[in-house]
Amino acid sequence: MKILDGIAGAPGVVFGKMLYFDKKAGNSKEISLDEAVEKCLEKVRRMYDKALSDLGEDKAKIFSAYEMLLEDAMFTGPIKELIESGRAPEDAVTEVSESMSAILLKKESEYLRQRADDIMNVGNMIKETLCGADSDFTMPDGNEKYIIAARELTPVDTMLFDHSRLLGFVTKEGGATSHTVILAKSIGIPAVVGVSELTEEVCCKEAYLDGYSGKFVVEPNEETKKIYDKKVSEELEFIKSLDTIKQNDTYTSDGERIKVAINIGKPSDLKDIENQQFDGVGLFRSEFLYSSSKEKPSVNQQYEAYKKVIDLVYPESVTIRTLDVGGDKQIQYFNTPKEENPFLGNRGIRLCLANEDIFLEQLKALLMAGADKKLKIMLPMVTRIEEITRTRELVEKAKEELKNEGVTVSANLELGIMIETPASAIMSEVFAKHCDFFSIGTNDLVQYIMSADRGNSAVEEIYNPYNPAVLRMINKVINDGAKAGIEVSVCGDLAANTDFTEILLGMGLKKFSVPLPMINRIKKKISDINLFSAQKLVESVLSAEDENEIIKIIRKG
Amino acid sequence: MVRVKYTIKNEEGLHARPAADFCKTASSFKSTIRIIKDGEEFEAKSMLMVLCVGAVQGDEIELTADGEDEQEAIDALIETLDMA
Repeated sequence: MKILDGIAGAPGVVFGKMLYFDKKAGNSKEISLDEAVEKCLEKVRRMYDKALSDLGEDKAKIFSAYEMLLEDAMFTGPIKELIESGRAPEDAVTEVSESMSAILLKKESEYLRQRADDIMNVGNMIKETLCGADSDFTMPDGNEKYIIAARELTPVDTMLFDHSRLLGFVTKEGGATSHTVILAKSIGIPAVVGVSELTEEVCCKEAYLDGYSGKFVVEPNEETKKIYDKKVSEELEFIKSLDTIKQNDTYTSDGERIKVAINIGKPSDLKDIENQQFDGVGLFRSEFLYSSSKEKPSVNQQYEAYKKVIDLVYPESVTIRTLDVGGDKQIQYFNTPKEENPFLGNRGIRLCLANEDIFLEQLKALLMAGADKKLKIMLPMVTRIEEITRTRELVEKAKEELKNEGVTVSANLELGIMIETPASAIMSEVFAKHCDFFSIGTNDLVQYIMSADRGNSAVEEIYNPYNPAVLRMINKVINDGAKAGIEVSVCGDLAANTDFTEILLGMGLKKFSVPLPMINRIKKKISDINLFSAQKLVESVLSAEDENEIIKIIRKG
Repeated sequence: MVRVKYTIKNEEGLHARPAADFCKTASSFKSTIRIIKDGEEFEAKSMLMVLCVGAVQGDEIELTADGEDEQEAIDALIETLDMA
């Protein structure tokens, strides 16, 4: 047995036989650049048509982008010039595609950096065609389904497979936003990428591919088989019940209505919500407005973005988190000096209150956007009551100023806080009197409680959400919120991790907020849980002494 | 030669579909068309170059067109950008 680690690309768990997709150099004769480009053009046009009919226009677009690149004289021109000056054709392609993609890699936009991949993909395609490489891969005869392994899969490669016979993709290279992942998601199969130890040797062996955890298990032993077979059957059951789960409200198996909201980072994150039931937006991060531009956003720009989301989600509510920068996320116009210890420095609400003019503008935009609907404003990184009371004063000031300008403002405003610092968690009983709701941000909360940087692999073991210190703290916050009669939700990673669903429900949590791709998985998990047994589970979890004991309890239950 | 300033309005900036649409529109005219951003000039009929402009929401760019259909080209390009 061999367990390989990669990046969780597309969700799902499958078991099956491996096929290794290899692009071997063919024996056919070499062809000229023009011929190669022409061949590639034919190929991407075929791919475009296939993708259009199989996957829809959205997914086919990539091939029309390839087509434009292949037809682009600014791309093929410099390659020709290099060849004419005596460079080997393949080297010329490499040189030009590398220098072009280097320009894009320097851009700030994630989208443009990904386009660098497109250029490299098209470059590789031309090179393979130049040397007559044979990538007309065909799957073995029969109906058997396979997990496809490869060094890397380009969108062109993925179109060579019969989609109905694919179980999943696993690649040595690529990241969570690569096209392999995008296509895997659209076909609805799991993908694990960036598996650095992946080799051809996996071919024809049996393996489990876990697109949730990014694990890839080759030739599993009996014990591992037992664990994974359970995951695979859960997954099958999940897929079977997906439509019902997707369209309906969520109840526990004993009938308690649980809200499941989504987390978004920009208005366009809401584009795949057709037929998807969800209980509003539990976390709308406002940073994108500030980080995507060099100047601070105007009140109107902000208003439009907030309003768009509020209108789309109405009559459900939207919880908008005020600007949360500082720490590892810096913004130019704040002019914050370099800090020795940024995670314990001027970040979140602290930074906003230190720049009241900018904060006031955001509050105004929020008040305007929520004018005719329900508005929930959430403050990040709160440690002291003062921060809440000062924000309330600023909200009043913003209201006053807007009213004087004759602008209608939200009458139905709720002000809540993220619980992500130990101070706010310890004081939650008191803080509950000063705000309308809590949302537990587990990522930072774990980091601060455990005093371990979540990005530092040396303390990875200590940054552990299973630690009883973390779970006791979360339990306290949920209970304090319930006692005060205010809404409590969890919006961090823990909410989207099915290991914690039963525990959170047992603690009394009534609202989860998760990224859109995880929502149905969580809704399904909740619907399988009985609250009474969840409460029993919490009792044993809270009496556990360390994380190992807790992990054992969770996995057994 | 016609020269105009334009501020990118759409959320995704001048890439993805907007860049492709822009490039297609530009290619349908005879004039030489360029995008200028921060003093750098880019060929508007090349998808690759349009991407390399890397214009994001709020950026100011300049468009120039030089040729027999320069005014029509600029009008059509502005319309394409507005629709993006």
